[in-house]
Formats: sequence, C-alpha cells, structure tokens
Amino acid sequence: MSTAILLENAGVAYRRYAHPRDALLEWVLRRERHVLFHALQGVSLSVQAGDSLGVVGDNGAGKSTFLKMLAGTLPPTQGSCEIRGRRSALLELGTGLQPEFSGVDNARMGLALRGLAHADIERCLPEVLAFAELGEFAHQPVKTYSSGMVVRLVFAVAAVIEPAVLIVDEALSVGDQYFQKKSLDRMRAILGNGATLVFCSHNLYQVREMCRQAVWLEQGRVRMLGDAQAVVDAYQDSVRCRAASPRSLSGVEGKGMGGSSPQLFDVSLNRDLFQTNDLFRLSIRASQGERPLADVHVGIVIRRNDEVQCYGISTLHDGVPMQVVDDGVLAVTFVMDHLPLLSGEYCLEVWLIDSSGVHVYDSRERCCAFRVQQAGQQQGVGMVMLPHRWEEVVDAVAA
Amino acid sequence: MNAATLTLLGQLLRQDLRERYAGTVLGMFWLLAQPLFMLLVYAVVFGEILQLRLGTATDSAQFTAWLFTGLTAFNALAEVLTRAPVLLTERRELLLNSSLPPALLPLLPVGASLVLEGLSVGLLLLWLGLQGQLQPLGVVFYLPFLLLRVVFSLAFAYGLAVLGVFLRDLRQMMPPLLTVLLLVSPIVYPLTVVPETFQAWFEWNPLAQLVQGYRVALLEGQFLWQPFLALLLLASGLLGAALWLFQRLLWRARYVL
Repeated sequence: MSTAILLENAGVAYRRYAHPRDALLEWVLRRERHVLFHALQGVSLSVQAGDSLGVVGDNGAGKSTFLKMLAGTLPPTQGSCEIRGRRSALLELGTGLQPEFSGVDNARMGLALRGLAHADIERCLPEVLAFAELGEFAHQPVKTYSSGMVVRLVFAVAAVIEPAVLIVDEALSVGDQYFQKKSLDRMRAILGNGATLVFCSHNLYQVREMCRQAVWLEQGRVRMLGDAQAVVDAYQDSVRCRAASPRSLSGVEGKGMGGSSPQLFDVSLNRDLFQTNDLFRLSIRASQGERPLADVHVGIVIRRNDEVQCYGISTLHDGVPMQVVDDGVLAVTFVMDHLPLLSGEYCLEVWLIDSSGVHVYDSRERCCAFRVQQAGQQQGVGMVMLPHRWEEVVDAVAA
Repeated sequence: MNAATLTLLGQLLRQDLRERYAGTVLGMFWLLAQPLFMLLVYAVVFGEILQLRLGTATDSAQFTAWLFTGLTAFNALAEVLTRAPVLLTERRELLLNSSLPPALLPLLPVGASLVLEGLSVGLLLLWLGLQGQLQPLGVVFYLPFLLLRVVFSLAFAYGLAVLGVFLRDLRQMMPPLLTVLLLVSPIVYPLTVVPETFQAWFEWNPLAQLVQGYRVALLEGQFLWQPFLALLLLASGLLGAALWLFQRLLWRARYVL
C-alpha cells in the first residue's frame, strides 16, 4: 500500500494584523506589525491509500485549519504536507455557490473548481444531478433551495468525481436522515474503491463508524492519534470529564458573561456500568442565574448509541420543582429504582429549559455514557423491559 | 495553462458576465443594449440637438463616431479600474475554501472589458458602414491599440486587485479618480480646444495618446507608430511591475482577506 497523505511536523500560523493596511506597511517598512497565531503545530502523521482518518476535537482546536491544509487551500507555514492524487474537499458548506444561478450552473462551476476540464464536466454532470436528487429544482436558482438541497448538491459535486483523497468537514449534519445515510454510503463506496477519506464530524458515532484511524486535535496540536475507536473514546471521556467537573462557580455567580442565565455545572450518574433492574440515580446541579425558581427546569433524554431516543422526561412535565441547595444553586435527582433498559451502550442529554419548555439555557449532549448489561435472555431482548404478564388460558385442558 | 484551468477561467468569465444581468428581462442583451443606447443618445443630443462639432469632424454623424470611439476605450479601462480593487475581497470565501488560483481573478474584468469593447467597436463599425465612412484598414490598425489597452488593463487589474485587499479605500477612490481622468484627457473634447500653455501637459497623458491611437486607426485608417511604441514600453513596464507586486503580496493578502 502506498502513502496517500504524509504530514511531517506540519503547522499553520496565521498572522494577525490590527488593520489590513498593516500587512502592506510591514512589507514596505520591513518592520513586524503582526501577532502570530498558531492554529496548528507539529502535526506528523501518514495515511495509507484506501485508509480513513477521522478528525475530532473541540471548536477552535484547529480542525478546520487541518482540513484546509489537507485540501490544499492553506499552505503549511512549517513542516510539509504531501497529498498524492486528486483531492476533493467539502469544506464550508455553500462556498462558491452563486445564489442567482441554477443548480446545474453551480454544479458546473464546482466541478471546474475541482480541476475538471469541459468534457469531463459534461460527463459527470448527469451523475451529480442524479445523486443530488434535485428534481425539477435543478434548473431553479440556488437561492430558492432548502439547506438540505444545498448540502445534497455540494456533496454530490465533491463526491461524484471519485477523488483519490476525499476530505469532508462537518457538512452532512444539515441533510436529512435519508441523505446522511446516502452520503455515508457513498463515502464508504469511495473508500471501497481504494480512495482515502478524511472525515471530520461532531457526530462521534459517525466518525467511529466511518474511520479506521482518528486524530484528536487540541489547541492546534495532536493530542492523540491511533485507532478510531480508542481515540473517540478518549475524546469522549475528556468531554465527559469536563461536563462532570463543576465549572468555575465564581464565574457563574459573578456579574460577568452568562451570569444572568442559568447554567448546568454538574451532571453525574451513580455509576457507568449497570445491570438491568439496578438503581439508576442521576444528580443534576445548576446555577439559578437571575431567573425565578419556577422558570428553571431540567429535561433528560436517554439515547442508545445508535441514536435511538429511548426515553425523555422533564421536571416541567412531571410538575416537580427544582430544589435550592445553596445560594443560587439548584439541584434535582432523577431516580429509577429498577432500570428497565436492556444491554447496550447509552448516553444522556441533559437540558436546562425555561417554563415554556422552548428556551434552552444550557445543555449537555452525549454526556454520562453508560453501559447496561443484562443477566440473560430471561430478561428479554430489545431496548427495555416492558411490564407484562402471561394470562392463563381459561379453557386449557390439563396436561 | 492546462485545459482544466482554461475551463475554469471560461466558467468564471461566463458567470461574471451573467451575474450582472441575472434575473433581468433582457439578460445578456444588456451587454449590447448599453453601448447601443449610448451611441443613439450621442447622435441625437450632441449631433442633432446641440449641433456640437468639437472634433475635426464636419458633420454630426462623424462627431458621434468620434465621441463614441473615445468613450469606448475609456469605458473599457474604467470597467477594469472600478472592479479591480474589490476582486479578491468579493471572492474571499472561494479563495479561502477552494483551490481557485488567485491569479485567474484579475483576468475576469479584463475579459469582461474585452467583450464590452468588442460589442461597442462592432456597433461603431456598423455605424461607420451605414455612413459610408468605414476605413478598410481601420480594424487592422485598431488591433495593436486594443492590445495596448489590454496590457494596461492587465497591469491595473493585477496591481489594484492585490493592493485593494490592504487598502480598502481604493474602491471608494476609483469613481472620482475616473471622473478626473475623463476630464483631464481629450476624450469628450479635442486636444485643439486646450489652450497652448497646457497642451504640453496633455500630450504627456498616456490615455490621451491611447484614445488618439484608437481614433486615428478606426476613423482615419492610419497607424500612429510613435505613440504605439512609447505606450507599449510603458504598458509592458507597468504590467511587469504589477505582476511582481501581485506575486510578492498575495500570501500576505490571505491573512487580511
């Protein structure tokens, strides 16, 4: 197998200027007028052709810079970045789309931007339109499209040309479930044909599904590189850890930013491995902010790792008020004496909402991951144990 | 430049021209309608109503052609000068998020100006033909001056495009600057009406020489060698400097786009 992507100590530093003219003055006067900002430093990795690399990390960790560097739109300012073969990138959604022009015109432009000559463009065009499923909208101006149609068009252009290296940034999240599946299938097919995939998503489940390797970026550096499952788990742990540790209380209570709005600062589960029927206790603490007690509620959702929503309920709908435990600190504990979930991996969503149930003050998504094991088949199969009984048949004949 | 780059340039140029008229009833016909309208208005207002005979021409149709030729050259340059400073900032997203070669962008206003000028000159030739004033060698002698105009345009397009990223004021400066340029050059008036004491200054104006070259070629069917060579030297020098500037400053421009 040959190497498709080779990074050696690659990094990107942006120069920040107070004003655009400073960049010109710097050149004329030969005196530094910028502040360096290292968006990415010292990244060394290699990806074999046909392999797949997931990219995870917080916002601002350098993921976009990393992808732009791979896509060739941002040259590295240190080290080297080598890509073999034609690359096609799906970076920022809607880049280069001209809203006044039709989908067909925009598809032509997109293909031209990816380095296709006229004959190839005309050859690929029907396939792009078929994949994007725009129907009669194909000849309408793009400004009339829904965001889902835009992402279908853009993805179709990026994926149809069968690149050697396909780079996909957080874009698929806009499409509907059907298209997400279709585009993931397409990426799998491209991978199957021997191409290399670089995939960045906040949907860690998709990263784990799509990629064999993953890199976790933190503050512009590689925090971890390796098997996708291990990297995603480690990243998830770190996110959970931050979610569970109380955010600086003084900051929340102060009059500074966010002081007026309630915030979650502790969400903890009594354990992370359960047996079906175990005691399940979730403790939640939040700051009250400057809202009346009756206007702060907690909602929780249990999700299985395949995104199935198992159950959701809130203090608002149960008519339970939160309790004041300290000055400005509210708490509530959710208990299931006999956890009815069957074996599987689950996680929680916790929402801090107002009394209308519409406004969200704060939320934790994909937190408190836990695993449930069941004693055996006698507890049933599926997601939950449902209360049931077997009724005796009245006219049964004694055996 | 390979086939793919040419295709991309063609797509960009097509988009660029269509962009202005997207959604209009006449569409691309506006490209032709504007110079046609201008020609007719000049003919009626200056020729018939005001009876202006400022040029060397003797009748109103000749004056119209004389004025129209000068303005054709000026408008083509103005197209490039007004658009160049915003070229890169307008396509910021594309430059930062796709592999579009930035050096293609300054070619767009130059290409558009060629289309506009081509249509204008076509109309002019038609007009001259109708008047029976068509010079057989006019087009041949016009082409070298068109080349000069394009080289000047390229120089300004590359230079102003990259400088416009740093100096955002440039885009505001262009329209008044063009008005001044129009007034200090013998475009709507002939050089002969300028007082003796100022004439030397006017002769040093490259735009005056260029417009003169256009007029002598198209209207009189003659070729002005001296101004052509002098202007060619100047234009090539400017283009060289502009390309050097573009290359040196482009990577810095990315940081402040």
